[in-house]
Amino acid sequence: MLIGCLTAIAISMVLLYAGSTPDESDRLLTLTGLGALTASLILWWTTYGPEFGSVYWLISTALLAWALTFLVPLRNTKTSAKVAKTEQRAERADSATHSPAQAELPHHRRTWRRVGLSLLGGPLALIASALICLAAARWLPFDTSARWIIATFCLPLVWAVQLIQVSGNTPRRALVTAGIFSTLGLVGITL
Amino acid sequence: MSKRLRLWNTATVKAMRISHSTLGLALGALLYLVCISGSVAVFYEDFERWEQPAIPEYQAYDDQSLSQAVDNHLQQLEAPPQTLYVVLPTETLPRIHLASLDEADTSTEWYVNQSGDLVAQPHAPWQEMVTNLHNHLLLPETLGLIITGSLGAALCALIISGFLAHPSLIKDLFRFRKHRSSRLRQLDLHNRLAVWGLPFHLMMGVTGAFFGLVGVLAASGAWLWYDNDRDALIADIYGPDIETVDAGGTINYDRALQQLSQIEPDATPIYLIIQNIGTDQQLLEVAATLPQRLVFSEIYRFHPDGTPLGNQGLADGPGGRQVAYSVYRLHFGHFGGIWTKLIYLVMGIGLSLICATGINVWLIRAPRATWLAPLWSGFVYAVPGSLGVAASGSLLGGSPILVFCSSLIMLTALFGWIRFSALSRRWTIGILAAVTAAIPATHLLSFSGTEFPLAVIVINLSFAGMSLALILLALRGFRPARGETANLAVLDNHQTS
Repeated sequence: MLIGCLTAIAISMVLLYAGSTPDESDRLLTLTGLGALTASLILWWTTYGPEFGSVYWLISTALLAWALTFLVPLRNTKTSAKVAKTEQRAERADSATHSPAQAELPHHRRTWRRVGLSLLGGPLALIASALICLAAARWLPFDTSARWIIATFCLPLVWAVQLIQVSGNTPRRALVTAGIFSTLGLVGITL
Repeated sequence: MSKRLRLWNTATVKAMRISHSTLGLALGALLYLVCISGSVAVFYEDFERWEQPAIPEYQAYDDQSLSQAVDNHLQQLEAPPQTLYVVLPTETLPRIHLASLDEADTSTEWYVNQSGDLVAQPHAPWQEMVTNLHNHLLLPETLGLIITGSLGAALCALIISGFLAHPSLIKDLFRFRKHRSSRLRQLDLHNRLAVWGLPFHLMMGVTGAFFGLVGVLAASGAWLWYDNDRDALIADIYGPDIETVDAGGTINYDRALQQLSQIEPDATPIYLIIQNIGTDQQLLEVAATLPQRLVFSEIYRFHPDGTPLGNQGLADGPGGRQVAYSVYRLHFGHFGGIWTKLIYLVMGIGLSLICATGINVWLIRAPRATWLAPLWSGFVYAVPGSLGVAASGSLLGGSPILVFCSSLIMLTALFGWIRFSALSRRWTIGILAAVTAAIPATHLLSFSGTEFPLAVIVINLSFAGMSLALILLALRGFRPARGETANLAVLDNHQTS
């Protein structure tokens, strides 16, 4: 059965691989590949149960895709001469824009400043996220323990979104957003 | 552009790229450390066997040997403990060991032989160091757990921002420009590993954050909903304890295990918990795994005479409880045997590579980063190297934490210097090969004359094989790819200027 499960994933991977060439993507092949991938999930479930089956499916999909990407040199032969030329042009442009000599020093200084601010703003975002999760969970129509578990599992995701806000925005906007969320959370909890 | 999802507009992509690089630079090194140590920690049971290969191994046990083991363990204690654990042999760890906590929370643990005699106390300092490095970065436990939990959430943030910063996701699903410039090669390696590993890595981020932040949220939840009573919250989530009366006398393990095989024929007992031993309120609990279930175990309760008293509902109770109790096996890959562990190792190495290549991409285009690039390169190679040095050092009686920390500093400096001097990378690989070869050599030297179980032989052979592969890699040398020579030239320019 394991062979069958792996074959199903391999077929869907080959379909996805064929459908996503660098020059143009074939939507039909890609959709068929995704359909086959979904069908293979059902096969994994029936063989190993939904819990083990889902994890095995996720892992084998990743491993087969990595193997196809890094071990099969098909990509080069498929790439047309026109695409190769475009790629080379893009590479030259990339080397010009992304070489250390061309990189702007102030831009990198800004990056390091952002790093510092993120490290400071992260804990504030955690407090805001915890407050939001607990406040939102309070209104869910479940028993207390279920509410707590939902809040606990949502926290990393809500905090992740807040961290993106903190690290991707200007410091002022990031702090204002975190402040608003903290206040909303506090209001939600005290209500 | 119209074909792309609206999710990926220019402003979003730009904001996500800024966020991704900021978070990656801020936390990449710590994430790398946690990922590498986590990949090794998956095999913690196997390394426990490796560090104490002389402990007798067996699968079969009976009522008499269990009673004998418990009696012998109790004789070592000043007072009977409130809770005594008897960890039963499993396929991955075919040994019985007993553990108890006294009132001062001091743990006493013993391995026992098949007759129930105490053999030795568990002593696996390197494995403990690796697990602690992964769990709390060798910091004080509470602080370290919060930091690693935060790293789990940061990993989720990096995954989300990386995903949203990638507008040509479908088109580039399998793109790997191996023979292009160093930056493009590193970028493709980073993106392809990350895109396909995304669901698994997200799962690791969420479950990792759960372990680290559960304490913070338990305190908050208890304050909010349980009048600050944390025990009440835990009881509500994982199910309350039960109390027995008039339950003195000898514990009938045999009958309890027979009853369990009738109640749940597919259950495999993994450990026993004896509550209030030697009192009238004795309670025997049997933790057992269930086939195709990720819950760590279901706990079946028995009167000391072996009469069933019900189960805790960890596998068939409320959905939230089942999810919360499944996190451990899901995060550490402890289900489905050795193949799952090996696959988790590959996925963990993949995540470590994502951390390394992500910072590499930034460094290649960083101005005046002459000191940072060699330092990062040195650190990336030094972490596995230091774990290897710590393994050998620990086998020779040194403190693994001390050896790991000092060798991490020294190897980072050495490998960084090799990179800075533009020496061939084969020197770095050669040193790593020597470090890896030293591990099985030290092990054989430390335990000469011991008859090793198969698992220990396989571990030693794996280290030898890894060392051989590294030697071959070093001998084969590295051909700099297009663009790499240019990077070295840039490095030279920086040095001369």
